[in-house]
Amino acid sequence: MSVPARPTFQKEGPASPCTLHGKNLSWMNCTPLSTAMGVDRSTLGRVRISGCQVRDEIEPPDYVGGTTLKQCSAVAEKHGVDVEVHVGANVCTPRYAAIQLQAGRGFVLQGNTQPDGRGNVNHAYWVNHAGKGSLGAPTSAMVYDPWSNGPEVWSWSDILAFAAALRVNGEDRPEKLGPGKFYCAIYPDTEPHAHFKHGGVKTNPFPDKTLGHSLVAGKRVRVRTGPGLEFPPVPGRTLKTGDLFLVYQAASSKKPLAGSKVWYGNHDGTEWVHKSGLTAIGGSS
Amino acid sequence: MTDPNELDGMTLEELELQALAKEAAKTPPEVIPDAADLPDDVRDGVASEVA
Repeated sequence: MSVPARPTFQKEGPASPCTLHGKNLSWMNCTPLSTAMGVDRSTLGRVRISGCQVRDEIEPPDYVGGTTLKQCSAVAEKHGVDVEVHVGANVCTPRYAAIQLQAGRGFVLQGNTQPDGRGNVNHAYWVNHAGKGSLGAPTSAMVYDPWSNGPEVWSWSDILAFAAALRVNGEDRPEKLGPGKFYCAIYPDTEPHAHFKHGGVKTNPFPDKTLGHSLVAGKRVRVRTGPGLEFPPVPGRTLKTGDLFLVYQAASSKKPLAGSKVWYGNHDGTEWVHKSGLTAIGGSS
Repeated sequence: MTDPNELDGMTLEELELQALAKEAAKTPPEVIPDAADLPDDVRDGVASEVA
C-alpha cells in the first residue's frame, strides 16, 4: 500500500549527523532534510540524498544557523526537481497549497513550533499528502517532520497554526506571518504513480477502473502474483463479477489464455488478473 | 477480505477528489495584497532532542 508515493523519513539531530567545515549542523537542518525528502518523493526514490548533502550543496556555501526555502529549493532543482517556491511577496494561500497537495504534489512548509508546544522555533517539514476532506480543505495531512520520530498525521488546523506562527523577521522578533499565508516550496505532481513489474506498461486511462467478470456464473476470478498461470494466486484474493479492480499496468504472459496473453496489474505489480476476468477495460470513469 | 472500494490505499472517493484537484490546481495562485513587504529569506531555527 504505497499510494501516494512516500519518501524515506529523515530525522533531525544525531540520527542525521552533519558536520561541515567543522560545524555541527545536525540540529539546524530541518529545511535541508525536508528538501531531501521532497526530492526522494518527487523522483519516486530514484534520487535519495541526505539533508546534510542538501546543506553542503547550497550556493553560495552557508554553514551558519538555519537555511531558507529558496536556498534549499535551488539544490532540489540541481537534482532535476522543479520546485515552486512561495515566499515573500509571492506567498500563497493555504487553500492553494491544499489543492496542490490533493492533486498529487507535496510541499516543504515553514512555520513555528510555538503552537504545538515545542517553543518558539522557526521550523520546516515535508507535507506528503492530504487526508480526507473537501477540495482545498483537507481535514488532515501526512507530515514528515524531521524534528520527530517519524511520519505523523497532523490535523489541517494544526498545520495552519504552525504556518501562521512563522516569525518572519526571526525568532527574536514578535512579527508573525499570520493566517491565510503559507511559506512553502511545492514539488512536482507524482500522482498517480505505479511500480511497474514483469514488463508492465502504463494503462490508458491511468489508472483504469475495471470490474471483475467471471466467465462462469457464481465463480470468482482468480488474482495472481504475476501475469501468467505460472504465478501463484494471491492468498485469499479473488474478484466476483462487478468487483472493482483498479489497474495501472498491462503485461503479456508467455502463453495465451482464452486467446489472449494480456494481463492487468495493480499499483505495485503484486496483483494480476487476466483480461478475460475483467470488463470495462479502458472505459470512462 | 479486501474492501473493493479501497484499493492501493486510496478510496474511489479520494481518487475522485484527486481528479477534481488536478483541474483546480491549474488555477494560478492568487496575489495576496498585504504580502508585498514580507521577506524572502526566513530561516529555520535550531531544534533540539525530541522528547
